[in-house]
Amino acid sequence: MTENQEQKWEDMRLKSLEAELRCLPEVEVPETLEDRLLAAIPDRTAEVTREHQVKWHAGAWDFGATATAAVLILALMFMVNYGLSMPQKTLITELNDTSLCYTRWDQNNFLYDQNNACVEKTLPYELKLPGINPDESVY
Amino acid sequence: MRRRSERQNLKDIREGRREACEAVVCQNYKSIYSFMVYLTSNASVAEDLTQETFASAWANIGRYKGRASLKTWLHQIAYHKFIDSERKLKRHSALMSNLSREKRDTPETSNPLYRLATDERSFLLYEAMRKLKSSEYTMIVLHYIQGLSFREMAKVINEPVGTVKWRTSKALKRLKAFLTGRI
Repeated sequence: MTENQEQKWEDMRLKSLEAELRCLPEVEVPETLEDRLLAAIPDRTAEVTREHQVKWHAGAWDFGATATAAVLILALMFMVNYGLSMPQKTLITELNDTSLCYTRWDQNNFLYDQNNACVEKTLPYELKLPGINPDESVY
Repeated sequence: MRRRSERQNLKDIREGRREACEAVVCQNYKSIYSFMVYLTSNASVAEDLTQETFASAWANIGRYKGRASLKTWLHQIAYHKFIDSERKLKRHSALMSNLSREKRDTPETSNPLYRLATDERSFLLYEAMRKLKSSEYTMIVLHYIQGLSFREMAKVINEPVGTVKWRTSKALKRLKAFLTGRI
């Protein structure tokens, strides 16, 4: 009972001290301080904020570009490793009848004409037109 | 309601409206200056640190996310400015550090806090507060004089709320013990 009473008194004393601390007189502020602080406000607060936002956006764009590049590289590696067909090479070339026609190579490097008839087997990236023999060149 | 007006104020600041910045200064400069006076016990140093606090706030306003109130954020900047200035003082010269300790220990007419102690009770209270450890003193100033909640204090000094509550309670008990002459 006495201990409880003592504790109660202790709590009351602490509460009283808290009240005293809260009632301490306010610090005197120099008269010119407010004016100096107002004068020190920069005119470019908005610019600073905008710069920060631009930096943030730039960072996001960098991240996006890197992620896209990584995904593309992975996709390319996947295609190469698992033998998915690459787009066939096509070109417009001149055949025997000297007319321009649409030709393509298949994966085995056979040259086909417009009607899908095999013209000749050729090396990749090298065009050999029928009837033209490089050995008979005038050079 | 208060949070809403603060959010609006922050939006205005970010849009570069000068009136919004002025409102922030008018609402907070007294509180920040008073905080600095209590921490430094020196009016001119407190003025300098208050100006540095606001300069830093304008420079970093873009980083302020609005998770804490502007008052708490400014107190956090001010507290870090004070810590930095103390570190610089200690680093530059031990002599200066000793002088500053003497300043804290002896009541001087230049100390604005002693000028406030018009009655004997206030004077005794200031004297007892000076005897507290630095961390305890900061807790008392932040909670009872600056009126910050435990959650806000935790943000200012970057400590868990539980630790802040415990330290404040301990500081109050020690302060009472100093006043009653038990320590």
